[in-house]
Formats: sequence, C-alpha cells, structure tokens
Amino acid sequence: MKKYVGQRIKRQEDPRLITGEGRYVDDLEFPGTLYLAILRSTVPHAKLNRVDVSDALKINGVVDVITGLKFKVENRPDNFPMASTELLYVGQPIAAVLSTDRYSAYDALDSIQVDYDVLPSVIDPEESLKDQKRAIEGKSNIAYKKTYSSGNPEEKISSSDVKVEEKIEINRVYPSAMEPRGILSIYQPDLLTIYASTQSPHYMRRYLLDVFGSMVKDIRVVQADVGGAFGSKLFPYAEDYIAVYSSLKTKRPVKWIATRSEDIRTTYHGRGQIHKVKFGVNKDGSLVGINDQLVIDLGAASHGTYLADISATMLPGPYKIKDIVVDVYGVYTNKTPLDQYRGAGRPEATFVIERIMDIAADEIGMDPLELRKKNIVRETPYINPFGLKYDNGDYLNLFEKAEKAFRGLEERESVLRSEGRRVGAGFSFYLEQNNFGPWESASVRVRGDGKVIVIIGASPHGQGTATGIAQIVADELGIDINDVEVVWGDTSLIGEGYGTYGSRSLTLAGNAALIASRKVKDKAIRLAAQFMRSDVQELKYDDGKVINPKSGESMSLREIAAKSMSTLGGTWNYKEEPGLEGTAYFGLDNLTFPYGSHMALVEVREDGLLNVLEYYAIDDIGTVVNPMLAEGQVMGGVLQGYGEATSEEVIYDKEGNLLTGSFAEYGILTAMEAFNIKWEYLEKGKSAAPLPAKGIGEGATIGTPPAVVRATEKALNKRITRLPMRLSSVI
Amino acid sequence: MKVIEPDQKTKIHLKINGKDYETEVEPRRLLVHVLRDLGFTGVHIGCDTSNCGACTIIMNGKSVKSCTVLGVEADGSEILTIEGLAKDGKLHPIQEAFWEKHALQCGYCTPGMIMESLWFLSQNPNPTEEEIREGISGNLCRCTGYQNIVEAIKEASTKMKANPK
Repeated sequence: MKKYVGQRIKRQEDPRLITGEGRYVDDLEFPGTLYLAILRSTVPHAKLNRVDVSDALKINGVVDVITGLKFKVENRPDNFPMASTELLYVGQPIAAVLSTDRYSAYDALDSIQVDYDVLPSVIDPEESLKDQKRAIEGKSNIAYKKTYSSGNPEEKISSSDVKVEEKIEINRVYPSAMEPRGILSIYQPDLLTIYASTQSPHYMRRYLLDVFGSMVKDIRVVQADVGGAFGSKLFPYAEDYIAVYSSLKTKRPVKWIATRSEDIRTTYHGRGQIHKVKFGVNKDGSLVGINDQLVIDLGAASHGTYLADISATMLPGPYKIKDIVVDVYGVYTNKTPLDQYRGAGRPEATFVIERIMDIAADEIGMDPLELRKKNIVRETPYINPFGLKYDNGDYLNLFEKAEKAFRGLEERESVLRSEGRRVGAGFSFYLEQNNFGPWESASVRVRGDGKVIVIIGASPHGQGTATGIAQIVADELGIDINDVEVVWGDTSLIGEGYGTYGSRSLTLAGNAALIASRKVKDKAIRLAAQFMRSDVQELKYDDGKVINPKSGESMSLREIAAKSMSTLGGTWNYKEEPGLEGTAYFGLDNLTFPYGSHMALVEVREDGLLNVLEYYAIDDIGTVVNPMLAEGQVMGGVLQGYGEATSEEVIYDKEGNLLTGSFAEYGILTAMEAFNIKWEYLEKGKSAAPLPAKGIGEGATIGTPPAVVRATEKALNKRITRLPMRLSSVI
Repeated sequence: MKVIEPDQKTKIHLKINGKDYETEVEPRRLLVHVLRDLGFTGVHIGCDTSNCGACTIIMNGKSVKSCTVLGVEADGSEILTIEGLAKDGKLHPIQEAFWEKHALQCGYCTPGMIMESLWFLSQNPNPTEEEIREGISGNLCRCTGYQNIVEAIKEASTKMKANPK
C-alpha cells in the first residue's frame, strides 16, 4: 500500500537546519586543531624559481609551512597539489601554513617570498587551439581530440535547402555553493578520520587511499552537513591532499576552510564550451545534417574532457538527426581547471541543439515548435547516432501538452507587444541523460524497539533524498514514516557506495533501499514463522505485519523485533538466524533519459535588464516520490539556468587575471531578479527500476537557458548565440 | 584611548540569546568569528565581501551581517542568533513556515535568511511579495530559487499577525 510515495511529505532533514544545529565542516572542532591557509598563485603563468618561508615560520602561532608537495594523481597537472616548478593559473596552491589560529595563518601567508618569472599566458580557448603559445610548458595545448561521427553530414548539408553556420558560446560559470569547500583531517596512528564538505565520502576515501595508503592503514571519511555542491564537491582537489598530508606530518587535526575568494579561484569551474556549427535544413522543416566543432576550455588540467564527450553524444537530443559529426578538442588554458557543474555536458548539448532548432525555424520561416515536432523522436527505445539508447518515454505527448501552454504565452506575448513592450516568449524541449552509476547501496536495519534505520551509500546534501527514501521504506514495510531514519555519509556505516551526483540518488539508492526492505520483509516472515510456530509458506507480510490468513494470527514488525530482543543472556532457541537486516546494491544497465519542456515570457526593460513575466516547466521523470522535493529541484535549477543565461560569467582579462574573484563581482541572483515558476510533471516515461523513477536534480539547468535566450531573442528581434547573453552588447 | 599591542587581546562582554558571555578577543577579530568561537555555529560564513548574508544576526534590535562588525565594536551588545529563536523547544513561526514551505535545501543560507526575515517582518508585518523580495535581497540562496522562501515569509507574516506575542 502506498501511503507516502507520491506525497508532499515535509523533510526530515529540516529541524536541525532551521535551528542552527546543522554541523557543517567548519562547525566541527577537535582539541589541538591547526588551521591551514594556502598561499596561491596571483599570476596565470610563470616559472617558479624559489619559495622562501623563513619569515613565515617566525610568526607567533605558526607550527609548520609546507612547500613543493607533489603527488601523482590522474589527469592533474605535474605541479599538483602544489606548484613546485610552474605556476599554471591564478589560485593554484604554492605553499601551506599551519597555525594555531586562523588569523595568524593568513598573516603568515604575507611573509612568504615567491620568486618567479612570468611566462606568456594562454587564456582564449580558440587561441589555445592554434597551439602557438603554450599554457603548460612542454605540452601541446591540445589535451584531447576525438571525433564522433555518424552518417554523411557533409553531403546532407550541401544538398539541403538552407545551410546555416553559427558560433555558439557557453561561458565558464562558478558553481557557487553557499558553503565554500572545506576539510578537517584528524590524525590517529593508523587511522585518519576526515570530515569533509563532499558529495561522496566513499569515493573520497578511495582517492585519498590511492595516495596515502602507504602512510596510513585506513581513512574514514565522514560527510559533514554540506552547504550545496552542484557537482563541484565530487572530484579530488589539491586542498584535500594538502590537508591530509599536513595532518599526517604534524600528527594533529588540520582544518582547511576556503574563503569565498579562494573558492571562486579554485573550485572547478563549469561549462566553458564553444561550438562552431554548420547545419542543413530543408524547407519542410527536416534537419538533415549537423557538423559541430566543439572546443572545451579545460583550464590547466585535463580532468574535464568527459564533459565534452557527454555534450557531443547528447547533441542530437530528442531529435531524429542521423547525419552528424562532432569534432571535439579539449584545450589547456591558464585558468582554473574545468569540471562538472549541475547538468555537466547536457546543458551545453541542449543549448546548442535548441539554438539550432530555433535558428533553423527562423531561416526557413517555420514555427519553431512545428519544426521540432517534425524532427522529434516518436518511438522509444531509440538508439541515437552515437549509440546512446534512449530508454522510455512519450516525447510527443509531453511536447503537445507543453505546446498548449506555450500558445497561451504567445497570445500574451502578442498582446503586450502590441502595446509596444519588448516582450518575447521562448520554448525549449530537452532530453536528459542521468542516473550515472554504476550502482548504489542501502542497508535497512530494524532495531529492537521497532525503529528502522536506513543507511545509504548515496550522500545527499540538500536534495532531501533522505525524506524520499524514508517514504519508500515506510511504504514497503507498511510502517509509520516517523519510525524510519535515513542516515548517510560515513564510510564506516556501509561497505561501499558512490555518492550523490548525476541525478541518481533517489533512483539508485532508493531502489537499493526498496530491495533491502524486501529482504527485511522476507526475514520478518521467517522469524515470525518461528515465533508463531507456523509454516513460512502459510505467512505473508502485509501492512507492517506478518499474518497467517488461515488462523488470523499476526505479529507486527515491531513485535517481531521486540521478541527477537526480549532477553539479555539466555539462549536463542529458534531455527532461524536472529536479526532483521537487509542490505542491497542496485544498478541499472542503462542510464535513464528523462525529458521535459521549459517556457518563458520575458520583457527587456528600459535599463536593459530582463523581467520574467511567466515561467512554466513540465517534466517527465518517471515515478515522482515526493513532488515537493522534485519541484524544489526545478525551482532552484531554473534560477541557476537563468543566472547562466543572464548574469553569471567567470571573466578573465586578456592576461589571465580573474576579474570575477568574489561575490561582489560574480553575479549570482538575489530574490529581486528571481521569479515564480509553475511546474507540472508526467509519470509516463518510467525507468526500468522496481521503483521506476528517473531523476530531476539537473533537468531545470538544462531546460532553462535555451528557453530564456529564445524569449529574449524574440523580445529584441536579434539572434543570440551566447551564454550569458550580455544584453548590453546585444541591445 | 586604550592602546592594544599586536597579539594582545581585549575583554568584551556580550549578551547572546539572553545569556551573558565575557571573552577575550583580538581587536581585529570579526564578530562572526567571535560568535562561532563561543559555539554559535549556526552563524555561517558564505563570503568575504558582505554580499551573502549567511552571518546575519540581530544586534541591539537590528539585523546586521556579523562579518561586517568587529567583536570589540559589539562590546556590551545584545545579540540574537538562530540558536536563540525557538523558545522552550517550540519553533518560531518563521522556522515553522520555512519547514512547511520547503524553503530550504542545503540549509547553509537558512539561519541568516530566517534572522533577516525576523527583522524584516518586525519592520513590515504586512509585506507584499515585492517587498519581501527586496527585504531579503541581501541574503543569497543558491538552492531554492527563493520562491518557497518568499512563500514562507508570507505564511509566517500571516501566522504572526494571528498570534502576536
């Protein structure tokens, strides 16, 4: 019986967080903690000659200063986690001060002398592609080259009715979690305990043991409360290694907490792609071929290349395009390394294909929704030209629902335009790929008092997944949701896990919890058979009880748990193993592909800023466990997408100095620019999981930018091909 | 004028959430750090340019960003932090409304946002949506898109009018 799944259940996570009792990493203190402050490069590219720390060591409170730390970590620069020979970007660590107090640690940074010779820097990714000046000495700028090709796009384009060329730019953005990154490493012989602001304690344990496994027997990683991440707190950072090494070296607890200015210079930036597209469209609206040259601005390390792979393979989106080639170039620049940000490659792909749809429609004078419908995939499963198998969905059905709403927006658009206002309505359709695996774990354990604890290997950090999973488990076990507590984020609680990223947690960890709950039910039946002196076959589990339909006898889960625990001492006289626990690991053999449509009605004001007059989104993400949580993800994601379209941009000057180095310059939006969003969902395109959810963590950052850009383009009657739009230069 | 040498500390007195505290601080130490050192870790730090508002508290009846005040400047002040808002285990109507309306996700901006809302509603008990948006524009949230925060403040204002203290 489903009592909770599908309902807007209030979050179990909130009571701590609304009373100030959250425990973020900087809130945790251990006796003798040393504070770590990091001296960082202020130049984008230089040869590092010498670092003199002698004066810093004289500062009162300073215990140690570390320089030249070097570990081999895949896809990271040779100068990692500290620069020892070459400075590669503004913000790169050079030295680390350990002091008894945060203030004196930062004082000591001012006393470190750095001797360097400035080298020419490479900032513009298209300049980098020419490979004349080198971003990293002794290395080609072209870190990655791959071609994705299907059919014969050149021929199709040349024989098409209308040929179009555009350059589509997607600037770098800064994920901007409200809590900057931080880590606390506590030393004991043989065991390090690490508290971190991370999306995956299990993965962090693994990557730290790769480097420190010879110096310590094990590393326990505990995820503190995390103040947002949006993809930026998953992969290894220089500071993780510096902090851990420092605690091993000093045998003391060491804490590092980024200031915002440090975070903005060092937390991996997102997006950063340029697409030079050529495409051909026929008069009937069929898009016949695409040729895309994709340049991804990797910054000073090569770990972001997979984002270009995702963008290339998802470029066809929900459309039947067969003839397509994407030439991918990953180039080094003297900038902060690039990695994932909410959406990770899919927003880029969707922005490009949705721009192509609108531009193609404009070029042939067709309604852009009609043109999309002409090209949309009508049957699933569908294999796209690069081999991705779109799982299950009725795209046209959702499209037609969305179209009805959009025609309403268009009516309002024309009324307002007739009043002389600069108003436009924009529409996007997106197909997403999510539930990045490979699997996730969960353990369901019934305590003697009947309370149920659920441990998950995923590590949510604001999404409300614990509440969603409590709903699933409470329904499956037929118990009160207040008897279910979901815990996570500690490598000592469960054998292995991955974490929370790629819109995966509710589907993968949720299904692991569902399967684990079923194991608990089976076990409850076997124990009840002993307690009730019945045959296992005669019993069934229903609504929180094991019942014997013949005799009418029953035992609740709580009673079974209590009876298992009734005496201390004595013996166990039943022919069934004690304990009411189930652990399950769950993975899917394909990614899931949710889809949806976003639409915006915007007005360009006299001062050149935008007002969003109406915003509507509709998504099909399979089974929705908690519509309130899903809607929350959409609302937050829309505003991030809107920020990316309008105000957010990491800007470097030509020399490589970061011009957006704090929240005073990097424009994340306030409540004043924000607007109300109407959201609806369908549950037609279900995943193959027992609880057939997909995921909604990233969908809105994918659907929003193309809708907002189209709306603005129509308001201004000027083609826009970049994110953010930089309206001052468009108007 | 009292001269304080580098590394020297000075004694300050604060009344925080109704209790008296005396502590020795360096004159340069920010109030936000002083409060956190005293255990009020619900006062968060989200930036270093006073843009984000995560450190918002009520000081002598007014909302301030505690990163823009030195500990020594606050000497003798009465301070209310998020930890002092619930009374006898009962949540304040603003806290209730934030929970009810799903006005938080990661929770990092939440204490500052709630304290700013408290101040705002004390000044404007009957706000329009527009006024609420302006009222919290000094507090950044990256998760929610603000829509549910605005809803929560609206709801709290209604509840607070129905049950004035």
